[in-house]
Amino acid sequence: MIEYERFVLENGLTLIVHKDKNTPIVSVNTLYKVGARDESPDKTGFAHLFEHLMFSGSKNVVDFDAPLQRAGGQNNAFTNNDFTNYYVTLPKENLDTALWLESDRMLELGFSPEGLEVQRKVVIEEFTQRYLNQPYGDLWLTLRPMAYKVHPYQWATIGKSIAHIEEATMDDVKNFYNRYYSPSNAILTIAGNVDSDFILDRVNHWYGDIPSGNGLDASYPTEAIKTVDECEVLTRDVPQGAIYMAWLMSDRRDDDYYKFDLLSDVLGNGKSSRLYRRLVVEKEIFTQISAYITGSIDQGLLVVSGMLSEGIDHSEARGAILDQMAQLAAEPPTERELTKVKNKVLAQKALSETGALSKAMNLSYYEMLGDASAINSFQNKYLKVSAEDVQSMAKELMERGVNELRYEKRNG
Amino acid sequence: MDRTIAPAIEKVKELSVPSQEPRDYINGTPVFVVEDEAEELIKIEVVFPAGSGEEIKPLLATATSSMLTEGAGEYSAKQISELKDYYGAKIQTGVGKDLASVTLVCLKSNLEELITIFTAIIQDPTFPEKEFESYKRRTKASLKVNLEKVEIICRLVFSKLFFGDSKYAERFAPDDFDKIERTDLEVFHRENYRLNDARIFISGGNVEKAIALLKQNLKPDKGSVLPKELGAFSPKLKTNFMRKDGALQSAIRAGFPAISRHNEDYPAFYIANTILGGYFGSRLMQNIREDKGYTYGIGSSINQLKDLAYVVISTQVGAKHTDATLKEIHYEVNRLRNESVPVEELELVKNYTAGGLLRSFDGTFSQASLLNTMLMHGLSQSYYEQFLKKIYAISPADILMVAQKYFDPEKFTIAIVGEGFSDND
Repeated sequence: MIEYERFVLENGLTLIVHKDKNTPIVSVNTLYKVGARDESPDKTGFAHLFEHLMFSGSKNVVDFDAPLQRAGGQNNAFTNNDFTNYYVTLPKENLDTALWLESDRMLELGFSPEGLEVQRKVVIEEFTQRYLNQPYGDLWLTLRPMAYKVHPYQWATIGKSIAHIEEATMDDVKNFYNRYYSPSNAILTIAGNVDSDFILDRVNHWYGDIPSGNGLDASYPTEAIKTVDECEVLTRDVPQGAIYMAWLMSDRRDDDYYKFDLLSDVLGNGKSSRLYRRLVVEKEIFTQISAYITGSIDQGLLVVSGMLSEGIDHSEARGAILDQMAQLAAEPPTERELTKVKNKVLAQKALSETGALSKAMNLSYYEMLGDASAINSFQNKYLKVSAEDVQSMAKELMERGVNELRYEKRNG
Repeated sequence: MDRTIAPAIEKVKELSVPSQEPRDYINGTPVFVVEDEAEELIKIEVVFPAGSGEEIKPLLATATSSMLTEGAGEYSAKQISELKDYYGAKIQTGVGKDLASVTLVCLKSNLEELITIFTAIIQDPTFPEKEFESYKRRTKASLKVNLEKVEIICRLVFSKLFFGDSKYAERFAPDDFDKIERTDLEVFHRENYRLNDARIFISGGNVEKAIALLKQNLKPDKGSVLPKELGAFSPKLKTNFMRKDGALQSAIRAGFPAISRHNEDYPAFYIANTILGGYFGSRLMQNIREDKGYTYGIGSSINQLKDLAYVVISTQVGAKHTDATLKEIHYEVNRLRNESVPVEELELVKNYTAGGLLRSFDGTFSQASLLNTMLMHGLSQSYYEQFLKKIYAISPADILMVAQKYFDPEKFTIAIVGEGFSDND
């Protein structure tokens, strides 16, 4: 049981405090409810580029990192399709330094033109390193536009193309900041061996005078469930064929989310899963295979990804995967299989509670979804899922169109 | 309030270093403990001197380690993965240059159900022929994928140049898997996974129960083996290129010998390396990423092996920035040697390092892994507290001294992999 207190400042900033007596380090996690899904289709990759700019100085502090490092702190951030998360850890005696820095960049950014020019280059190198200069690296750049025709999940967080990063202007940066980076659009979570009275006092001191910002009422188009399969083939200099099959599933707040998640676990999470046992070990069709869900707030994807054994063609690989899905649609998983995937949820929950930073991140995440208390109760949603529920999700997916991406070896 | 003024900061005063005193012995093997009864999880790690430095054929240490979970005692590979997944547990095997480890992480309430499988994996792996063939097939395929990555190729090119004929050299190709026989695994396991040479680390909750269960299930072991000698180590002081057509980025590794933690210059050496490339605000990062935008990241790290220490600077940069990056690396190393470090920068790095130390002693699992490091390198119980004190006392003159003594661009071994080069060597 993770105990916490929740406060909302007058300017709308949500503050969550968790006391962890076992650590000399305090974790400060700031989640802004903005991600790649909030970008316009002609300016993609922006939420992520913007995350880089958050380190290029704010109104009153020229450099974010150096004062934090001087206080013994470390920090980093990540952006996904739904939100942007910044985190700092430092010795608890120096909590004020973290609040000073985080609050100043919530108050107003420095908007340095040099910062924009350099981070533009850095992000282009990141794009190249992670998406272009890796075998199979452009998977999501290709698969997303197949799976999403109207929803902004059709582009990856890094953006549709390098051109969009190259074209970003300072005006774009300012508009983006003014729209999304305000107290009412943020969740601040602090975890460590510090009293909540003291934290509330310091947070009021540093954040109290930041203007609230405009309330956001974002809505995103619903992706229609397709009934027709779509297949794309990429011919590349890769050493091995690969196949990715993705089905549209429910959104994060739907009870079906938990059923789809357990379906993906029964299918392809770990060496005892059906896909691995039957298609890697027994039939040797693949050398690697796994199934997982993307876990996004709006409608996500259930994905099966496999690396083909030498001499296996893609239609055989596809058939083998569909056959396993069909078996689950015809007959529910065994009770032992179901208990196994539920036990895994419980063990992973315990693992995520071993560090203050991970608890702070999860509290912010569940608060964003609607209620921080779900950090203590989400497992019940999994425990309620029956074997028939898993079967009915498999049936459902068999009726939906699948998005299939094939990597074929050049010259063979 | 004046937001331009930084809040006052405090220095790190103490570290909570776990005790090096074994809690118990199991058939002579020492058991070290970092206990927290409130913890729901338990972690047991058994560490053997069975790293890649001990192998007589390429990839043998890796293959042996990976095959431990593919059949053990009465359990088949299928039963092992079934049981492990059923309890949501992790049973992991790992291998470095010096050590190999077998680790169990599970809910403490499931320990009894998992202990026999865990001890069988350690002591009675069966290395079934069929599973070994399957392992070779899978791993060869993923190695071929990895060998498409400039970063991985560069690691191998560097290793060949730097480690020479010493035991730490990594020279392998996918076909090396075909040269390993089942019996090689058995011999390697028998020779190198001996409890007499091992250390056991237990962290988390229910520690006493774990010790009792291990005592019941681990069999006494015979004999002991001495780790191999280092062998001929004479890094080649040259730059080697390897061509990778179509690479959009080049991978660069530049390395040189470092000093051990027992050397009195080590605290200053450590801080000098941090200033150069050991953190996000480092000079390499500031210059090559934050000023020039040539890369997504660049770093310099000290690697402490049992018989050898070395520094390696590594990065991946846009292909057209390869030469400019090398020039800037040399520039930054020379600046460290020729100019006194500003007091403010030095203070920042000292405080950052102290905060990092505090962080690495945070949590029972991290403490156990630090204990492993301390024992492997023979560091005393008070080592880290003294290290902290020495770091706070370092002056700019100390940094200049170690930079001139040890950081010499003339003594770099450099490997570059990317488009547009022609292979040499």
